[in-house]
Amino acid sequence: MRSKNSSFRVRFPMGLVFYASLLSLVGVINIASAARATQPNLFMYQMLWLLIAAGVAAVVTFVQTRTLGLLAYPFYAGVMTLLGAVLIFGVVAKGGQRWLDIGFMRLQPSELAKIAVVLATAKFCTDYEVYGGYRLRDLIRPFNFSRPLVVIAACLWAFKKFPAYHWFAVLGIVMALVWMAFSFQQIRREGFHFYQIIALGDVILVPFLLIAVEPDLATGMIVLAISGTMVLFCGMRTLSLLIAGVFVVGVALVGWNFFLKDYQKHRVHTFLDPDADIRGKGYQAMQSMIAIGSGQVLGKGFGEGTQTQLSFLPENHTDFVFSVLAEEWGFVGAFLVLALFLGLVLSMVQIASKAQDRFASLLAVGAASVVFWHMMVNVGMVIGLLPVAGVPLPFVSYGGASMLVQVAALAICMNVSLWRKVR
Amino acid sequence: MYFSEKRFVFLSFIPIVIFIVLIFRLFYLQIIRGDYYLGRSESNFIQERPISHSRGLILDQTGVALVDNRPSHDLYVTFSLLPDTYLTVRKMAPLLGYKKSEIAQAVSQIKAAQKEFVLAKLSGSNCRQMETWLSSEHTPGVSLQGCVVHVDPALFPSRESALQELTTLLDLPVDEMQIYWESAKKKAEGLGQYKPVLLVSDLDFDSYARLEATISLGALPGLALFDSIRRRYVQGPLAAHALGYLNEISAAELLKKPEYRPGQRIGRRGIELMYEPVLRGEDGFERTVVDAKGRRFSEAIETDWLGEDRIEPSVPGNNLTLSIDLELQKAAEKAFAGKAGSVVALEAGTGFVLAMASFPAYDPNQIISRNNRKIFEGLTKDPLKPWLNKAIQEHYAPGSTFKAITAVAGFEHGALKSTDHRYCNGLFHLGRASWRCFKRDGHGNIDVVEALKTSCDVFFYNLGYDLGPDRLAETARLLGFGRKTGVELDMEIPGIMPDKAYYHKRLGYYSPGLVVNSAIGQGDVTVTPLQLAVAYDAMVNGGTLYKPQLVREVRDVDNKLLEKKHPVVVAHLQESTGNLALVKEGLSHVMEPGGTAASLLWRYDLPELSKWLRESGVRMGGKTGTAQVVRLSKLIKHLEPGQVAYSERDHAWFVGFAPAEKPEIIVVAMTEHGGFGGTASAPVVAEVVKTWYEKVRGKGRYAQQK
Repeated sequence: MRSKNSSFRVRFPMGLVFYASLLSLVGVINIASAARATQPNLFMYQMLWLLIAAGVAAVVTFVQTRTLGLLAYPFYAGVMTLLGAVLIFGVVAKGGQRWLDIGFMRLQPSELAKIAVVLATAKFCTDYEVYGGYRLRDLIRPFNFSRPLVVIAACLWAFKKFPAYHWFAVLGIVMALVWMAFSFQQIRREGFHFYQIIALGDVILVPFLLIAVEPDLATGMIVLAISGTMVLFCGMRTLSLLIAGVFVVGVALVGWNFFLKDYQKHRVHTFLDPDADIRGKGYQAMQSMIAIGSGQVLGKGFGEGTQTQLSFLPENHTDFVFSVLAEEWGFVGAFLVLALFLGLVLSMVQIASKAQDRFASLLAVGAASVVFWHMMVNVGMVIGLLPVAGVPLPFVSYGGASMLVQVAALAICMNVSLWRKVR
Repeated sequence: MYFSEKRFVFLSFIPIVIFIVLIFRLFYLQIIRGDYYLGRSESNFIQERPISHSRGLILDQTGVALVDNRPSHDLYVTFSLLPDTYLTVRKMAPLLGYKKSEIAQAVSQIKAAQKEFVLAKLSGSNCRQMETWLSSEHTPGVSLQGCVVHVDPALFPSRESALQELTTLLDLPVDEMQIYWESAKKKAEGLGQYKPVLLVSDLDFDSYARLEATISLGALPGLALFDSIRRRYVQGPLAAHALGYLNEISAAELLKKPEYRPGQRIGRRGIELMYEPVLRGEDGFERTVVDAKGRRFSEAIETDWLGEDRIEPSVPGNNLTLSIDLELQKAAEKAFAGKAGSVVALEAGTGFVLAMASFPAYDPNQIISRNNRKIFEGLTKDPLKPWLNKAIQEHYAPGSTFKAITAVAGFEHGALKSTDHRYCNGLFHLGRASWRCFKRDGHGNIDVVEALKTSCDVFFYNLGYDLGPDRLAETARLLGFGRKTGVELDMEIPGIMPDKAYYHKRLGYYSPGLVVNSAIGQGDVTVTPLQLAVAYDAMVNGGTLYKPQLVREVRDVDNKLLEKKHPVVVAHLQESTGNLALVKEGLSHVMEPGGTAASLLWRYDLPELSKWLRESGVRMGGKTGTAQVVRLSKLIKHLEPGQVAYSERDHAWFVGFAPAEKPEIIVVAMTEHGGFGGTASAPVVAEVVKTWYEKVRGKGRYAQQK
């Protein structure tokens, strides 16, 4: 009994809880100031969300890590289904189709996707390990038989849609059948595994594409960054990494020219020159920098930030909450909060390093990157280092969905820490 | 540990590096550039609103206001907030599913339409959204019937419909309103469209009330009423030329004078111009707290945030007490009978101007009124030149009034002695030329007193010939001829006092005949009425030439004396006062029987004035003068003024002073084309002198003069 108790104490990540609680406390206080003029009771709601999140955290923390592994794929599949549903049934708001109306509340599946990719990527990387690091073809697996099947499905659809060009479709099906022959050759050589159907690259790219077309490029990039961090952490061969890098740059250029929406291009332009049009697109970025800069060393004090209280700062209790903090608490406050984030992320990495197995370790790395990328993109955006994008600051921004995701990531880490073997 | 230690160390590096980058950026923003951003944040929420000052008053010497201020209401327009067809369509565009190019098309469709028409048919979800939008936005002229959008072009928001509604509310002629609209539009070019610009100033009470009610209902977006202070010229056209007027400051001047705000008025003429820095106060300002939408906060919050000193009150301008006397000015303007000319009255021995009138006059209230274009045009086209202040900006040959100056020059240079007599046989010969005295059979052997009294030409032909042009000019210049008096009014002209050099320059030669002409004030010598008054003052006060002044005192708004003006001596005559007394005596006989203005004692058309002159016991001196406009041969029989065309009649001078023993007031009247000075101008002078005795002397500052 005594030994079990003491091992719990050893396992329980006090540092993690300490950092996260402090950040949440800062968040509640900050929201009380930021929303004072518009929604004075908002910080109470934030506390309510914290309570709910704590409940979720308890569940996630105390199930066995193995159970998380079992749930990974079903959860991932469910979330992908929801992302698909959003594109068809979703509610349109703020220039994107991101929400599902499920009666009593609006669900944002792209938030769930952040957790889903952590679980699924960790699981996949554990089950599919390549000695010496992944090559590009291990990520893509072009001869998986799911590939020709998709081509056949597409040709059948095209056959029905454009009957005049039916011979194109027929040609496609014939080629896909040849392709499939290679697939069977591959199965005969390697044996049938789940990775003959889906590749690691699919796990990473499908949620990114589904979210990016909503369109919500920022969230899509975050999701991509989370799973990408995990795969890179697992290790990739140098040549593959180089080729992938060149490919990503190429896709980015093509995407900029053909696929980015006007408002997204606007944001990038705005980022490059916020002063150019202070009344229009540069407004948010400029006001945020004014708020932060005017905070100077010690800040203007709680509830005294003029940018915040007089609504010059947009979205001041959600995306631009860090600007409120920096305005009212100055460089000192902003520094301390960033230090808390650094401590939190580093202790999550610490937990990953002490995890019992590959899956648990990857889970912790994934959880750490969820917190880290949100923090980096959000702070980078409000201090004018990155374009303006709708990314919340973990634990500090107001919002139930964001809070649940971040606390879930935290709980995954705690889970990993608690269920490891202690010598 | 599943992965190698190295891999985790590397992983930890990423957040540490990013942390350092973020901290550096924060350090840059908050500490290095902190002051800059603090300034930017303050200019975000602190708005300085100017508080207009009130301009100083202009009072007469007894303290009666000649110019003061009155409240008025002005209508301002902010063009960016006006209802606008394009903006409205653009707002509706996403609901109608329009692309950018289709917006312009829809706008021209609405503008071209004559009656209600169908703009678009909507599908289910857009239809519902349109419905909610229409219920929340005030969009007249758009209606949704089923899912079909109907547009009524007559009601649809547009600048034209707003202007039309405004014109009806103001009850103004369409073309007049159009002028205001266009000029406001010009002012609102560029960023100006986001600021209120003046549309119609000085609304009458009825339009103000109607507009106030309509605007408070929110039915006229972009229009606002502001209170302002307007200048009022209490006495209308009285002393208009001396007082001057104001006008809106121009864009070019604003660049040079940063203390002025657009739309403010600045002195343009007269005292208003010359004393602009004194009359103008300082605008105050009020710092107010505004939020991102421009809404103001309560004064308590503003004081809490910005401190007690957030309001800097305006400083009113200083008040001027003029030397002009309302009674004398009124008398001068009332008595003046001609079409054009001027009257100047000076306080003897100080140079203070008691009255200064120029004819024809205008009403400065009309000049500064909003619809002044026609008045401007009318005044500019008038051949009688009403814009000119003829007391200082027009010069005339002094005619016989110059004879006194010739006499003084004679004494100064020893060409004339007090006992000298000269013989007048009616003619003055010089070589083959001869000049005629206006009295054909001559005055006989006369001295200077008699010569001045009878205005004998031959006496002064002789004297002038003896003096020569340079000696005559020297004394005349000493008396202020040929140079500006220095009165604090704009655009004063110096007049001409010819000497030999002048003739050589102008004609290329000099002949003694020219000075013979000059000696009786004809020819090239010219003088402004004010100059003549100043010169006469010097001759009758014992030989001191003063700078004429219009302002006696400058007082601040609390009536504290800031500056008291004292007489300024310009020159002294060398000649002994005894000889000047002779000149004065000669002038004193002018209104006695036998003098040139004696007829004034028995004017049938002015019985009261004549009676006062005969019976009041006041002895008045003076001198008549007639400035020839067209050189009429002296041989032609004297023509009555009525027999000559107006523009060819002589200018009529009269200089008067009273009392003759110790003059207190000098009055000059110049009636353009008035004919003979004793007839046209002398009654004006006498009337002013009479008013001096009846209404001014012995009262107020003149209480001792009993």
